[in-house]
Amino acid sequence: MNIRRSTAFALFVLAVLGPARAGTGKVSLQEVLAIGGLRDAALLQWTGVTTDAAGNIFVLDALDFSLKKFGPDGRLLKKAGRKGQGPGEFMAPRLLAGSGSRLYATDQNVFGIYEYDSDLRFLRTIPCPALVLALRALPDGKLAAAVVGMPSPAKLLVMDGQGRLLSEFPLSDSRDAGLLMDSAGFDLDAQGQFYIAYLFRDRVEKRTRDGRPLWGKSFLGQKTAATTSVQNLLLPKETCFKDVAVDAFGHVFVLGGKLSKNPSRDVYILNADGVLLTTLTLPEPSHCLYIDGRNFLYARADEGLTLKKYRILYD
Amino acid sequence: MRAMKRKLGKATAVALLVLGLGLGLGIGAPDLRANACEEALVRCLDDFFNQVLGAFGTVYCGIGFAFCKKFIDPES
Repeated sequence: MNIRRSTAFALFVLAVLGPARAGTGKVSLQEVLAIGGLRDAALLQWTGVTTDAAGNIFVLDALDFSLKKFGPDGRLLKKAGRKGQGPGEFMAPRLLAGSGSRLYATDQNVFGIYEYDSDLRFLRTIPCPALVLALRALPDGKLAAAVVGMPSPAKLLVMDGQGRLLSEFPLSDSRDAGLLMDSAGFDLDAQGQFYIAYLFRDRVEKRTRDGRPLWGKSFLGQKTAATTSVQNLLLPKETCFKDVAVDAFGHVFVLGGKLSKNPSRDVYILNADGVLLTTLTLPEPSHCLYIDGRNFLYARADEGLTLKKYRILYD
Repeated sequence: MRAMKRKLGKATAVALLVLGLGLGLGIGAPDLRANACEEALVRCLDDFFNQVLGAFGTVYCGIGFAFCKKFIDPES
């Protein structure tokens, strides 16, 4: 009985102190690696990034129409793909995700997801019923994709490795959202719950695996993105949140867009309940955030010519 | 040299955006300026093939516009 109580107490202490070690105070970044740069042709305009368990870094290069593999030291190991519309070829490479030994890439105008092995061998195109705005690979071989909706709202789809639809839910409750107003990025926590950050709305949400809302928050003072009318289409002009990533401790990193104090640099760090813990400011504007399994954060520098890897430091 | 590469990178990025929007023809030395994404969108929507595609053409152009706002436009 005493042993059980001691164990329970120890677990309680760990539960309380464990997250505290991850820090809820100031968070800062320490640069540990830069790939590309103004004097280097390694990257021309990177768009998507992911990593594997060995620390290799995979990058989609939009101007080189290719997928590149870099070693943990940043050395280019391999390159695949070229400009074209055939299998494994790119016209507008955009998103990249990875899980286990598989990589998944998208081309902006292709209704499908390219699958590669970790040696960048193109395997096949997984069919997708719509164009993809955000993509994540789940540990169990499934894929989650935010897809653009027209005229219906954008959706978040979960598919198996063959592209078969397993579940879906709309990304916005609003039926009159307007084109692109429900565009969003997302990430998942260890429990498979979704954190969704809207590109043109001051809204960050947490949802269950089946899309049930858990909370929704605003962090920009409920600012509304300005809109413009183009050929009778109501379009947003300013971005609210550009990306979201969950770290190893379950903290949610949300990259602010134009409406942030430091556009495309401010990162709002939330706990799992959506409480704002702190903010950090990236050294340079970025279009995306990626946090790997070892808690390194990857972001853009030099307007896409450079990929920077940072160690996240929690005070 | 650095400034040239940066400028080249920006210009090519916009060219790539335009290509991504489904145009890619007749675009010379674009530069990053306010409303670059809106202007590229208008061209995309006016493109004959995208007009033939109807709603799908609008989606093609729209997703390019979202990409432009997220990745490229310094004013967004």
